[in-house]
Amino acid sequence: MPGKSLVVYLTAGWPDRATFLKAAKVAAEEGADLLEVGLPFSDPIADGPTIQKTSSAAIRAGMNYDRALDLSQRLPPGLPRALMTYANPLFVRGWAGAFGEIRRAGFAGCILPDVPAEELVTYLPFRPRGFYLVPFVAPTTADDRLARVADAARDGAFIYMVSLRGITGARLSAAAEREIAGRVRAIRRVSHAPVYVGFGVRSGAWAARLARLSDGVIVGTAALEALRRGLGPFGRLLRELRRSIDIRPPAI
Amino acid sequence: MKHPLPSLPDRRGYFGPFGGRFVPETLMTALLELEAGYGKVRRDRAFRRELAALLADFAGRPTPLYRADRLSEAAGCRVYLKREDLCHTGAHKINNCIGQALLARRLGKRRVIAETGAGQHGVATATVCAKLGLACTIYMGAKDVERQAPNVFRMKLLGAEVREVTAGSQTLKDAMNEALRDWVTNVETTYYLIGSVAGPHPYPMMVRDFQAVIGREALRQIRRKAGGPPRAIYACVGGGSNAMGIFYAFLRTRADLIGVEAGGTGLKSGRHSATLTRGSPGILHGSQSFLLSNSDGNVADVHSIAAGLDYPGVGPEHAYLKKTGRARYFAVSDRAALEAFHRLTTLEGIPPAFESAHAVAGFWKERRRYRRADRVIINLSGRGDKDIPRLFDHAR
Repeated sequence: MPGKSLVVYLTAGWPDRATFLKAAKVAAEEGADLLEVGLPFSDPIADGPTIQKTSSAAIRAGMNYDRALDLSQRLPPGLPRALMTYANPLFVRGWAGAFGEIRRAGFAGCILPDVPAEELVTYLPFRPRGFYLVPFVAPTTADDRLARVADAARDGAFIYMVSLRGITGARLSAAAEREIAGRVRAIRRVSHAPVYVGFGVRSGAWAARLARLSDGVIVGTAALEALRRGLGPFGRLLRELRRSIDIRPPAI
Repeated sequence: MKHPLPSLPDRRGYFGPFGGRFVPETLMTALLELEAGYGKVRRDRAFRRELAALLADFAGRPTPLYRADRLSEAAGCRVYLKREDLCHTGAHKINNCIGQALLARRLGKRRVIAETGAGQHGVATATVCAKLGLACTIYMGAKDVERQAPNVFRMKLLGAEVREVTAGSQTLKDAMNEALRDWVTNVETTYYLIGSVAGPHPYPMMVRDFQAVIGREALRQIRRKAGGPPRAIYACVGGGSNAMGIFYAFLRTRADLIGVEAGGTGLKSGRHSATLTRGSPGILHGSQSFLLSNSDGNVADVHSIAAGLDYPGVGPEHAYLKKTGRARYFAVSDRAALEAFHRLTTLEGIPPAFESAHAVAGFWKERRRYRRADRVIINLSGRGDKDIPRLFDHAR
């Protein structure tokens, strides 16, 4: 099943700057379609223990906005990237200025998990041309709000489908899968933007099932846990995910 | 003096540039439901009767407005204390908990979660949940669990589960992060009972409304007892619920509204939680307001002797009152708060909570501004019993 995307999340500068850059290179080699670079924030309310820990470790090691943008200039040039962070680190810089700087550092857009579509649309006018902001859809998103989400997904933005009620790194279930299918169908009625599913993607089997329902999967917690064990395990996980989403999954 | 405030926030939850809803998408439906549910009950007679009955017979309202004669004599003006310290559970927190827990029951939620710093909001939440038969989980930073051990025990006695938060600075801010993560995970079954005028819309408005009973009573009482309106009102500000509660009824009067923040070991020391005095606009825990954060936007570590003020943010309506000049804010140090604690205890026989002692200290600092006939109200938001063990340890 060609055309499905694999999105890989890494925390900027974690576990250290050199390994972060090497991991990005491995991601490019293993066929990632988009790299989500996390600018660490002190209070990541949408994230589970794994990303909380990588974020606070990166902050302790001196990672910040300027350094994350500098470091990103050295990422593999062929691999598109988006910056993931929370509202405050960009708010304190001023939205318009920050979007411009992030764009110049080579990012195609921003992912802000604590900014729902209602607030996001007020920032759209501050973007540089062609720079996107990613709106989220959750299992709890009611149909009457989807038009608002679709409206925010402009200029190449994808829609980030949160797979479950919970934070990053939680466990998926068959019930969640049915719900995702329903939400994706509802999104298709109002938007042409690609839908990528994230939160809880830990194995090839799950990646295959979610990719079948959508346009791609986002892997974060599992990627960081593999990377903690080393670049080898990290590469093997991405290879497994890539292979799983590219082939028709077995019936379950 | 007309003021637009009583009609704020606007439909999007903004007080001027402050407020809004900055939460993960998963919570949006719950917040919209909450807003609709609250909109319904605030006009519902049966709900209002039930709330009024519980405030009277369970919480012990109205609380007295007490003329503090010896403090007045020492200060050189007429000082009145709004006695929220006499509420059930020892602080104003119960007013909001009763209102929100009744709303939770109306919305069909059987489980309530809350964050707590000093433990006052946790105890009030656990108390109301016990009364209404709701399951209750309280998030509390590990540092606060240690320094407020009696309140932890109290919450457990009331049947609540206390979850210790070891992430980050292990204080109120981290407890709130963890409560939000719980809510994202259990959003359909769980009601998040926020304890201050902070968080995403509609919380700042709703908590203010449930606390506004303080100011409504005080306005009536001071007219009847003292023959006229106050010149000034002092209240301590952490998140700002007791201050908003007493300020709200006075917004359209000529009274000066003064919020006193926690200056910790001194504003220059960097160990304080004086968000409005020293912070700048920022976004945390669901709303845009003032915040103590560094140039990277990471939230600063804060300090106060009063665990209930030890918070890097503040309610968005306070940010708006500051911006419009309708209220002013300044900070007093840990030491000044301790002196005020002793002053009120020895002059009036009323040991205030360390939080409320900041309001007393703020007034004391400015007492020379007032003439003998001037009436000043201090919101005595909580009693000091919870802090006495720490003074005892210190004295030894």
